[in-house]
Amino acid sequence: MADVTIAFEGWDSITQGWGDGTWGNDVGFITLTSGQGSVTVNQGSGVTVSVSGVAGTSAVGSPSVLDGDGLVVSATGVSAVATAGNTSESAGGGISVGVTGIGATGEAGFIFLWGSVDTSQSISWAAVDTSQTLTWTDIAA
Amino acid sequence: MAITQAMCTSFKQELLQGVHNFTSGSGGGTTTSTGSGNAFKIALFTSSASLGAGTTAYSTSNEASGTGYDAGGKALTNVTPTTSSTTAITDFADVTWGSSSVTARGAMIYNSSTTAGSANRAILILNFGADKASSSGDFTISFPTADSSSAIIRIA
Repeated sequence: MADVTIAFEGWDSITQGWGDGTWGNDVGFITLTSGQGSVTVNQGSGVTVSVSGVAGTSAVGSPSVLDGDGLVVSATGVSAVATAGNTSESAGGGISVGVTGIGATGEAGFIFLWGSVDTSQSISWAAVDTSQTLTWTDIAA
Repeated sequence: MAITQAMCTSFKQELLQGVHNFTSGSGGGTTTSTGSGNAFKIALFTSSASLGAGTTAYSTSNEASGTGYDAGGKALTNVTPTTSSTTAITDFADVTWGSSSVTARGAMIYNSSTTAGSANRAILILNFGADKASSSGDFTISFPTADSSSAIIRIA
């Protein structure tokens, strides 16, 4: 069996056919592109995403922090601090929940007061004056 | 399942029965607490819990869990009740679960004393409005300003 020679550079090699490319220059191997998708942190989980450059451009998508904290993406240096109402959440993974107080209203109920009828009262009255003069005016029809 | 912020109805009744004493240290006595303030705790609960005005006592059901959190919650430091105008108020020092990883939707303050009739009786329910989480960090409950309009417990 005849020998087989595989050339890695120059014409008629695995990267270029005969007459391809310019004289004296090789065609490089096919390059690979590496990428990283979006990072979603549903709750503060202290995620640290380190991205290292790999043959070309590698990027971290838009981090989406739904209700979290402590997200540090070293590729872009994003640090998220979320605040919700009285709650403050720190990038270090901590959280401070401010609570509201609760009030109650106290009331004193009504009471009834009564006593015995006083039967010792002196009865007094005046007679109706029958000497009054009656006067009136007719109502206009 | 839901957590509704409320002062527990049973607590209101128990106030009239002298069951609870919020005094810090000795004093402010009642017949059941023999002149010393009771111990109180705050426990965290998940969104699966069903808590509200009708809650009468602490239970481990749907209590939060995680690194740095122990069942039963954390002890509170009482602030002796006082008055502001015509309103009686009491307060607690802020409480922190350090270096914890825990998620909670609400909390319950309850009487953690061992006195018969007082033990584990619910005081109030707090609703955080949403799940709150710490991740290897401090989980702090920050109590409101202790005045007649904001104190954590007010009786007007």
